[in-house]
Amino acid sequence: MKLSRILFLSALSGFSGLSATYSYADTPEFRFSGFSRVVLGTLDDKNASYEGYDNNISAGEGSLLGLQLDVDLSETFSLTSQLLAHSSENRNSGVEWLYLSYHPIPELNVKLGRQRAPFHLYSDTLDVGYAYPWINPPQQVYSGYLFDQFDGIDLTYEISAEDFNAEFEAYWGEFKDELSVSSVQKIDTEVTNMLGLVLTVKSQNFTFRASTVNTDFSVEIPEMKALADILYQLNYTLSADSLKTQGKVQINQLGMTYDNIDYFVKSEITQVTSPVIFVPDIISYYVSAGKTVDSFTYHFTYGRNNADFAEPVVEIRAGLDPQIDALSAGYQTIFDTFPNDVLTSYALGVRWDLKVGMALKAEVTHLRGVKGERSYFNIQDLEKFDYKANLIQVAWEWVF
Amino acid sequence: MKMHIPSIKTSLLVWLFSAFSAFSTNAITQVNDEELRIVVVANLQQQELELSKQQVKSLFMGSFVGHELKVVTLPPSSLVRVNFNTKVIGMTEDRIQSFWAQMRFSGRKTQPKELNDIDALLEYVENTPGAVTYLPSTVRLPDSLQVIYTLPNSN
Repeated sequence: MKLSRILFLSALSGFSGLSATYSYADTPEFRFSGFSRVVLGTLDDKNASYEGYDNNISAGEGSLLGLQLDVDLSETFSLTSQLLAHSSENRNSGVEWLYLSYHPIPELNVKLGRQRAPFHLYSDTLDVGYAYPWINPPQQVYSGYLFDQFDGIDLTYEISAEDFNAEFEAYWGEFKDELSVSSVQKIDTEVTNMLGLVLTVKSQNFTFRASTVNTDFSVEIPEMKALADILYQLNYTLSADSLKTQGKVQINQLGMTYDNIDYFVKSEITQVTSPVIFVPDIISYYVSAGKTVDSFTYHFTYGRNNADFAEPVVEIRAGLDPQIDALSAGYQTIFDTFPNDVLTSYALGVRWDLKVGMALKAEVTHLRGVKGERSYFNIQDLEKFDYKANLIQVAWEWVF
Repeated sequence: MKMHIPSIKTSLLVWLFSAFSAFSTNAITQVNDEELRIVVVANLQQQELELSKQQVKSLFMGSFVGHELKVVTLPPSSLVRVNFNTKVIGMTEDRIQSFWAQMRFSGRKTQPKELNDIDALLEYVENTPGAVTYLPSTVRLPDSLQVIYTLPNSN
């Protein structure tokens, strides 16, 4: 049995053993909490849709309800489970988090079980819209990860000095998933040996964050493997090798936030590199500035990315044999059909904190894609679409 | 799910307008300066401790500051809390609440316990070794509590 599975099951058995453990305890402390968001939006363009939003007003993909149960097992152990119900077709509802926390000394926290990977500042609370100023966290940085959960262990250690506070976080784990590439097609993905390190330093009004993740990643696509096997048999080794569906993925990130009573600035930059054919090399970043006036926070956010897929290898000579030509064409087609998500976005939004735990938001995002690429759009009319659109959204955020 | 678009757009405009008109008002009522001066006090059983402003901020935002301390605060409606947020934490209550939502739902830190008034705070801190809270400097402190940080007046 793999270690991560054991960790997950041990967290699970912690839950099932609760009644037994706590029939003897004086006052078991159970805490229920939750979060919910309802997002409505529309795209002002008839020729494309974006994240489930088209030219009609719709609930899109963002609406959800999450419930969290925390149980304090002892002074140092606690158990947390988070269940999620989701409106997105591309995500499964169910157990999002299930972990055992161990907090032996104030400076150390250990989490064992199923968790969300803290790639970026808000990665592990993307579902909790109340936690951030936007309706849509900048997609260039926050969307499109082929994996974001893991079964494993996360350790956080804090140190404190007179003028700063630092947090070292290390996590390790793995995850098997079924990824929806469309409403009908699902592919199996596997993340193994994922190791992440995060350093966060807070001083005065600044927070600096640097992180790196390295993991083995594989995708199961029988058609791709069949083509690679034929290429190997015909000795087109370089071409066959370029169809890699497994390999390392490396994600590096730098982030900074500045907060004071009147305004904030946040920025994150990310680099993704991998030899895996589906994982483009990505550089993405955003800069967001906000101003607070009473219960209202206004923000302007600029986001941009660049994604490069590997180029096809020039190895197969054309014109020798019609069958080889067909094979070569098939090989080329794979590279031509990669949807490249390159996007620049300008968002203007307002958040109104109605009361503690509840906020309303409105946001207009101007999206500019690159002609000929997908740019996160789902394009209905390639001829008419000009790769420019405005996304208008309103959201209701609630934590309880 | 479909709706009549113009009506949504209109109400959005009205909402944005009301947001801008709120610029001129100020939610914080003026109160006597001395009332709003703040001290951070702890039940340390006579141990010596003095914290820097950065450490006080870290402590109330859930970070470890080198000592095992139990933070307890007043509720968000309290003026003392508003003043503490403004001068020590440097963030509005709304943004602090966002921060705690992020911490809670990622299993990182737990929001400090809240008690309704100063009497309840004093009673809790007196009876809980390691407890720490903030109070207006006008409150008479029992001997068992010690001041570990005083917010300078000019701040």
